[in-house]
Amino acid sequence: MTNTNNTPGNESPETDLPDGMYGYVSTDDSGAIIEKKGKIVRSFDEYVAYFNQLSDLAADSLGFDRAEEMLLLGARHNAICFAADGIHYGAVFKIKADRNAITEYLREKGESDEFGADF
Amino acid sequence: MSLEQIFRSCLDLPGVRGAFCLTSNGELVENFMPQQYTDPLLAGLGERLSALCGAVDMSYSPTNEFLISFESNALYLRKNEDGIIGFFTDSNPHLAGLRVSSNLLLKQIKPSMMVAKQIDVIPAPPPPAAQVPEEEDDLLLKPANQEMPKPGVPSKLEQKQGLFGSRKSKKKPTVSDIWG
Repeated sequence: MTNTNNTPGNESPETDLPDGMYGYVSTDDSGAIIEKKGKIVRSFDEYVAYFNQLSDLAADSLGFDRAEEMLLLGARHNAICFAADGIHYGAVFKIKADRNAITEYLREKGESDEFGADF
Repeated sequence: MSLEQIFRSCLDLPGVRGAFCLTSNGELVENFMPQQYTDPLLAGLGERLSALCGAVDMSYSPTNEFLISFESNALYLRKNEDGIIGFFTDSNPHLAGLRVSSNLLLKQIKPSMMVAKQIDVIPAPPPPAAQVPEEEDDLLLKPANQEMPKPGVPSKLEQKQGLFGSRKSKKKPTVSDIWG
């Protein structure tokens, strides 16, 4: 598991990650990192849980129970945040990457208990 | 051109159910959302979205576009230095279409139009209390066999001197008492 915190630039994404994904992270409610792989932008990993909590508040204002996922559409790369079973997932990926494939990959990883296997 | 005219074309887009416009601080400028989303409700949403945008800018990367998905709907947000535009859409909106529309909107909206709307906050009505007539209200406080004091007539307790009813009236100190 690589724990780099470099900003993704022109370099190619990690080979063992889905096409176009730079990196992903999973954290608990407090923001403590459970697993991190690849390249994550700035402090994105520490704030995934907070972003999810804020998007849940926005959902609450609109009368929904929770936000299913939030997509951050940047000029150079996109990011996705969502929570499942009390774990917060976040991933940074290329603009042209298949978002659904990335979400699917993270959900499958969560279900297969691969997250936190190193602990 | 008013904001309503500018937004009208976007509200006709397929999948778009409503839209709103916020200042950069999250204050509500215009509300074109379905009827159940009232101005005070959107004002609360604006504060939360403003906090979200600020947190993302500060800790991740300056981001001008957000898509928040809910159970059966989504919220597409577009931000610039003047404010935030939000589109309330179906669950799977056409992102490219929304992006183009919001680009056009942002070009048409002048900074002078982004003035926070005056929201009349209707105070919540007080909880219903049991209606008791004034006369009955007095009876509730008075024991059944006790007479209520009449105004101007000293009560028996007031007529007593001191705590045990035996204290004499206190002598006022004269100047000679003080200085000998």
